[in-house]
Order: sequence, then C-alpha cells, then structure tokens
Amino acid sequence: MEKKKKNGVQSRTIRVLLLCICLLLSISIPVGATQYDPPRASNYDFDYPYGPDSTPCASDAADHQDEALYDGRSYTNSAAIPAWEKMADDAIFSFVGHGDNGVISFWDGDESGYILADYYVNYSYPTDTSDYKYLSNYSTELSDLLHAAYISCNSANESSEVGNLTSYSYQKGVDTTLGFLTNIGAAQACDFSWKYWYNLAIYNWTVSTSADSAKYYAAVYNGGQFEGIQNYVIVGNPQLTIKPARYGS
Amino acid sequence: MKYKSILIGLCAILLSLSVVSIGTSAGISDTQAVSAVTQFLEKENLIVMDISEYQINSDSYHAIVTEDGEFWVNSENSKVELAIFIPNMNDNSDVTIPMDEAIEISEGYLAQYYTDLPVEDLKLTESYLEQHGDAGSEYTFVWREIVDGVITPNYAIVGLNPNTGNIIGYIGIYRTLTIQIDSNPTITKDDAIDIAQEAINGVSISSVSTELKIVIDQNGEQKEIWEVCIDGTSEKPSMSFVSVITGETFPVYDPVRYIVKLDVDTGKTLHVLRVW
Repeated sequence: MEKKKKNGVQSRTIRVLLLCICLLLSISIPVGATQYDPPRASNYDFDYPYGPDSTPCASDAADHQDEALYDGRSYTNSAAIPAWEKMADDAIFSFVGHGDNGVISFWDGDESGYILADYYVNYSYPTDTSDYKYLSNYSTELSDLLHAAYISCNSANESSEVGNLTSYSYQKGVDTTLGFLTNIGAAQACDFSWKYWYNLAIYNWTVSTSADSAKYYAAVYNGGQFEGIQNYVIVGNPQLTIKPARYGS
Repeated sequence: MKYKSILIGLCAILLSLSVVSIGTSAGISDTQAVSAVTQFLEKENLIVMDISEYQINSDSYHAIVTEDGEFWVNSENSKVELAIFIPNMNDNSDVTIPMDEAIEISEGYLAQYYTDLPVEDLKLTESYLEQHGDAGSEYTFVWREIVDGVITPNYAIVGLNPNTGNIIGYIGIYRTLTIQIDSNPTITKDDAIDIAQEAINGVSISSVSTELKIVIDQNGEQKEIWEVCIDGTSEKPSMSFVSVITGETFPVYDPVRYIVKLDVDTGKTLHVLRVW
C-alpha cells in the first residue's frame, strides 16, 4: 500500500514535470508559421473613397514576383485583419496606399482598417473601427518575412503613440523593410512600386539599387517631380536580393 | 502613256506608304541604342544584360541594362536621358562632401552630359541630402529651365554619392519649345488660385502656390498652363486614437495636397489631381 502510494506520488510528479516541460516548450518554441512552396508574396492596393487610389500596383507587383518564382498575390480593397493574419506566412509583404507615422490604412469597400506598429509604446487604439491589428499582437516573430515594403506616407517615421512600422517590423524579424520619411505622391508611389519590384524580380538587383532606380523612374515619369518618393528608407540589409524565391531567415 | 501613268501612280503610292512606315516606326534600333550608351559611358565592349522599351507620354525609350547600371536612350534623339549607376550605391554611409561642393561636381557633370543648355541657363530648384537608413545617404539636385517666369519642360537631375562624389543617377530632358511663352496670360495668378480652390473641397487649406508651366501631352503637343498646388489637411479626422493610459483622444488629420491644372487663356480646369 505504502509502495503503491509512493508510485502514485511518483507518477503524479512525472505528470507535473511533463506538463511543465510541455508548457515551457510551448512558450519557448513559437507556433510555426506555414511556409508555402512557392513562397507567398502578398500585395495590397486600394480604391479609397476619398482618393487617391493605388491600383493596379498590387497586381503589377504580383506579376513581377511571379517572374521571380514567388506565388504573387494581389488584394485590392482588403480589410486589415486578414492582411495581418496572412503576414506571418508571407515571404513578401507589399503595401501601396495611405499611411502615417506607425500606421498603414486599409479600406475594404465599407470601412477603414489599420495595421499599426506597437501598442506597448503608449497603449492607444483607433476608435473608428474594429478592423485593426498591431504588429506587436504577434506572439511569434515575423522572421519568415524576407521583405516588407510599406509604400505609403511617413511609413518610416516614429509615432509617439504607436511606434515605427518600418523599424518595428525589422525588430520583429522581417529581414529587410522599406518605408518613407515624408508624404509621397500617389502617382510616384505607384511608379516606384512598379519599377522597384521589376528591378528586384527581373534584374535581381539589391533592394538599395532597386529603390534608387525606382526613385529616378518615378521622377522621369512625372516630369521630374519626386513628391517625396526620394525619401525612401531601408532598414536591414540594403544588399538583400529576393532571388532565389525564399522565406526570410 | 496609260501604263506609264499607272506605274507613276503605283510608285507614288509605294513611296507614300514607306514614308508613313518610317513615320510610325521612327526611332533607333537596339544596336544604335547600345552604341549611344557605349559613347555615353566612354567604355568599349559593353556587356549588355537586358534591353527593354518604355513609353513615357509621347517619348519612347530603349532601356539598356549593363553591369554598370541602367541607361535609357531616347528613341528619337539617341540621347541617354536617364542613367543609374549601380556600383555607386556603395560606400555612401558617410557624408564627407559638403553640399556646395556636391553642387559644383554635379554642375560639372551637367556641363559634360547635358549639352543642350548651358548650366547658367538652368536654375537649381531643389536640393536634398537624403537619408536612406541602412542604404546610406545621397545628394539629389534638380535644375529647371525657367524663361520669363515660365517653367519649360527642360530639366536635369543629378544624384551624387556624398562620400565619394561619384554620380549615382542622372536625368537630362531637353525638348525644343514649339509654342510662344506667355508670361502674362489672360488668366491671372489670382484668378488661377480662385478657380483652383473652387475645384476642390474637404480641405483645410494651409498654403497655395502657383507655377506657369509648359507641359507636353501624350500626343507630344505643348501647352502653357497654370499649375496650382494646394496644401492642407482633411477637414475631418481620418482616424482617432484613444490613449488607454491617459484617456486622451488624438484625432489624425490626413495631410492633403492637390494639384490643379488650368488653361492660361480660358481658366478651364484641365486636371484636378490629389497628390496625397
């Protein structure tokens, strides 16, 4: 009886230990993001009701990424939460649309939505919609993302409320991110996006060279007017190339 | 005699067809474009990696990609009008060259490559020292031709490595003016501002600026216009934050820029463009 009791104590101890190990494992090992073959590239553009629209930037970018053997997908007028949910399984994330310090603005045809950087900075939330997510909502990292391009106004600027989208993405594990320090013209943004992804996908140029070439391309297409597109910022590895198609590391 | 007339007629038709053909497919061959780049770079045995064609409004280009970069040759005039130099996007993390010296280097470059206009006839209208984060820094300068207060389609842009002084990028556009410049058009500056402000709504205007410009449309036709740039913010906030810590609400008003283009003779609104 005594022996039996001892065995019972032992087995309970083992069960508790196993439970602890499982708990520790679940905390230390992040929930694995899905890596598709070919790697997925998600591109977003919008037909905002208050203008200016950013179509067909997404489908153009997706076409170029297909050439580089990614699964280029384009989403026009997507809500923010589905985009955020897909992000962890994306190899490439590209957004062309409205934005401001620490935030990019979505429009699903009915209401606005937002992806914001970090709510730990000064916990604040948007009041006009329930369609929003913070990158810091991710319990796991964004390390599968090879490249995120936020082609929107002030996407590389710090907000005292919600942080900095470009640098925060990098901190969360995106290999290299691209954003802008000022307002940018809609026409220039679309032209920049077209040439940027063309350079990366077809010429296999680095993000640095691709961005600079895209800057001049956008200017020559718009009578020499940059309208802020020259103020791109790269966070991470400026020598990154997107070929061969792969996920981030 | 009858056969002779028919023969002459046929020849005339064939001749006119060939002229039309030349007219529609005017432009240079790939080989000529590569030759223009070879001359531009002053480099023998150019390794061409890609040739593609672009159309910008009424201009067509051969884009030649080499190991040195990307070079756009105007298919009509065989000039390299856009150049991006790949190797010069390195070693640009430090800014060791002051801006005035960078301008001097860039003007020297223009004197050599933008040969349609002397640098003295151009006005430096924009100068930037751009910070590209981990991709380093870059000077960019824009010159424009301004005649009697009217901005012409002619401009040049030079990008420069602020550490080495090497040229990173170049754009040089020159188009012969085909219309008379009118520096005092029927529609005055004040008229233009009034018309432009009426053409937009939902903006709290903070500043308005105007420019008289000659623009070229998609058919290659030149036209003088008023370009009115209106800056402000959206009248309604695009979103509002509530701080959980302080309970304070922060409305966000989108920055808004409109460009309104007007006919200088009639004041007719030609184009209303929301820039951002």
